[in-house]
Amino acid sequence: MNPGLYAADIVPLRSEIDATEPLGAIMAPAPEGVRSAACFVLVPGEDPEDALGLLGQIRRHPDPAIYLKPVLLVRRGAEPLPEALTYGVDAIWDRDAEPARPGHDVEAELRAIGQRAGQLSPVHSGGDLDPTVRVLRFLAVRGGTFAPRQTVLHPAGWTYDRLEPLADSADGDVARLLMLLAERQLLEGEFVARTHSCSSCNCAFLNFQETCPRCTSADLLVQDWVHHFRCAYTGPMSDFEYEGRLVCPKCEHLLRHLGTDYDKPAIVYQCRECENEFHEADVVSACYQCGHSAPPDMQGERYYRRYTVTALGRNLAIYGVDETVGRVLSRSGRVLPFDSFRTLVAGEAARHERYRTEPGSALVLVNLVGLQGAYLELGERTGELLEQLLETVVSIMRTSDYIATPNNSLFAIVLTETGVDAAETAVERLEGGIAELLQGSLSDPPNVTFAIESITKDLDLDGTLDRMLGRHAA
Amino acid sequence: MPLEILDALSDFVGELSLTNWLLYFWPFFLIDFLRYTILDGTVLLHWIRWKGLGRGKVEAARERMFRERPLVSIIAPGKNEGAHLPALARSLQKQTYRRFELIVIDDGSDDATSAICRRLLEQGKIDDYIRHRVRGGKASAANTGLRRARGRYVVHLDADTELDPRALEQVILPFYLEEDVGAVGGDIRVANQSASLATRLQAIEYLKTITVARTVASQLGIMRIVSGAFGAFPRQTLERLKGWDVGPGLDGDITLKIRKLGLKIRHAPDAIAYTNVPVRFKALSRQRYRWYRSMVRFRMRKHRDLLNPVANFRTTDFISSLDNIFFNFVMNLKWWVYAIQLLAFVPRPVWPYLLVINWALYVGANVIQWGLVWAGVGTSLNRRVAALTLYVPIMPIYVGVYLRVIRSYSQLMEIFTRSSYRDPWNPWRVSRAAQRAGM
Repeated sequence: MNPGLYAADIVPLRSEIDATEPLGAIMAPAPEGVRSAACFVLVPGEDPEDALGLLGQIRRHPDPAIYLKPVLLVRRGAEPLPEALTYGVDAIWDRDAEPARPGHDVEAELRAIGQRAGQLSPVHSGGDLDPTVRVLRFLAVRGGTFAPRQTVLHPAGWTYDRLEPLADSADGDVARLLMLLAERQLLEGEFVARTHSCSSCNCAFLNFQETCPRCTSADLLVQDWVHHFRCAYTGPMSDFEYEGRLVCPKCEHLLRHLGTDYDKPAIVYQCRECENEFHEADVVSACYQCGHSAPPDMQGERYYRRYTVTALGRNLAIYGVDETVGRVLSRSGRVLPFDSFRTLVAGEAARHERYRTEPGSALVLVNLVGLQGAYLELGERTGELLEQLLETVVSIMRTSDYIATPNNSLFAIVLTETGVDAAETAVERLEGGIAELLQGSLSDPPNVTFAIESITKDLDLDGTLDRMLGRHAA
Repeated sequence: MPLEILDALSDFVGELSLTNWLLYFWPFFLIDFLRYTILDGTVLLHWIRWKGLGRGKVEAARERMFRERPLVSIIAPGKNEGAHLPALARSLQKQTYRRFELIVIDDGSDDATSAICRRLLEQGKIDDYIRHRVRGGKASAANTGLRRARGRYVVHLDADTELDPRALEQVILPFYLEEDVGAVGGDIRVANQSASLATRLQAIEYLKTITVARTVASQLGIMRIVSGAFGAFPRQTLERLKGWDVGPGLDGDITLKIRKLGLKIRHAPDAIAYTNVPVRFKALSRQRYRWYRSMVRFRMRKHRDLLNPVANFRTTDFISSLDNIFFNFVMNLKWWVYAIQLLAFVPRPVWPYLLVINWALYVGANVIQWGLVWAGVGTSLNRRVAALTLYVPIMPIYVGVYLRVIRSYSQLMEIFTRSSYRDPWNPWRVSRAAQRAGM
């Protein structure tokens, strides 16, 4: 690598991002040096607080070319760095160990991320404002698996370090955003941990304490409940304590050996406030952070998973979710919500399974590969193109067919009472109509691919969609 | 042919002298008929008359009870009894006497009992639930329940018991009718009487041996057991005794201990509890094997001092124990003596006649006893119970042969091998400790 070029990559970000500007509210001026020349950002680590502040500004910037930019922390000396900084950046360059430049692999990886990030356009004219989109794009650009890390320094007890700076407190916590994305099948999660957290502030540091069911005092004496085998007497340990030995108050025999003479089948609580004696205490959990107190089952519960982006998620990360387009599609009475579409497909499969009707029904998937070009060329007017595209598709379909749009580049159609052969004929007509529209509207039209599946009980709709998108994902 | 047999039987009966009757049928005429038909019948008829005359006294006691409204603690110890508890809770909600607390003691259940109890606790159908992590046996669970009880009276229930709506009121009432009552036994009846022949026979047996016999014993002051399935005690009395001792047979044992305190034991025939009895004869045999051994273990060993005419002697205690030992143990042996008499001294051709006549005599006695049941508590019986009349002729075989064989075997096993200490009804570590202590 050319050292000169490398030097040029060190962007003086501090001067280009105005820390006083309310980031996220409006699109910050595009920092030219960052967008065109820099594939990653070097953040000096001499002052960790400054570095953390800078990292936050980068990650909360609305422009994907900035907030997705890889950050390399440059450090010297052995002073420990704050965890949020150590784990929050993409990589650390220890200049004491490697004075000239970071490791080649690190640099190559960061440049690759930077290049992928640079290709994305904002999904909104003001930048990526939706924290869900920002998190999804961040994950998709970096690839791999994002695992949470357990730490006492984060109130939730677990943290997704690199993702934390992407969302400010108003967006809610990152774990919730990730769960939301996983519910939409944009991420795939693998269980790591389940935590109980404060239902008021999400803090996982809860103090569980037993309290008296009568007066709610936590000042309790806890004793073993003793059963003397010989005479069946049962009572708290204090009943048996006599001059340093255990003597049964009923038969006055000495209790010598646990398991032979007696056992402890339960515990008993005695309240020092109201002298109530009970076997089952109420349990209350109190938050260390905000003091909120509630029974454990009334507190929050959260699952932490290690996440990877699905093909559907990658697709959405690249092309984005344009609310305008979404509204256009949902206005059309012919477009079903995807959940309804899923139910319809399941119903068709069940109907076919039960009645063995021939020719059955077919599922047609239409994927527009490289729709990014349309966004770049038409901007927000891409929605109008999609509306025309939808009209084209609808005009070719019969009134008995159903359509849904799992995302903006993919159309799913159920052709009822249509075998795979007849569906191929329909696809040919669709292919012709769509090609005509796209070629007439765009200088670099996206490729359109099709897939046909027979709807049977074995059809895995999500898997089919995933395969379709995975095959053509950018 | 049948008519010829009948003629032969008729001739045989016609030739019997009074001496022959006594020689051939002495167990019936000298013992069983006198004790269980004449004596029981006389006392029961006396009680029926007293019941009619004492109505005002009973009403006054009832008024006093409802004015005072003492808290009654119902304790239900048991292992894996969760499935029965919702029905028990429902039957308690229908009680005419409402001031009670229900305490369930889970003796190391390994099924869904814990979850069921917690749900009932949340619904307010159970007032207290205590779980022993490991099974300690019924006595220890009952003692834990006693420790938690706050009521003036403690009612011990089997978890699979359902109560008649007036049961709680009726089982507490005797404490207001008389002074110094230390325990009141409820009237246990069979809930699943239509399930099989075994349950039908047990239904008749329970009505005879609990409803009638215990009412009679209560009147005579010689009642010797308050059933663990449904019995009431003043809490102070139980606390004075520091609760129940290790079973099996802990219900009979605590009754004797209360007698030793000089307190009265009463039976409340209108305090009705329904319980499920074994459906198969195999299970019934196991149950009775356990019950009958306790007679030897508790009456003849642990509480033999009741027969001592010197120390703390009380006539009713003495008669109570003697009655039990004599009729359940000694008189159990009479059949073997009788059998030897037949084999040794009676010509073989006569045996069939003696068997048939014995059976007819006992059927007659059973019919009279069945009539006493209806005379005593007929108002609480229904058509299903009336239908049991058809099974009364089988009772001599059920009681006289089946139960007698089990009883003899159980008692011999207990006398010679102390087999009750090996009964899995208690955990082994508990039985071992009890055996070492001679409890």
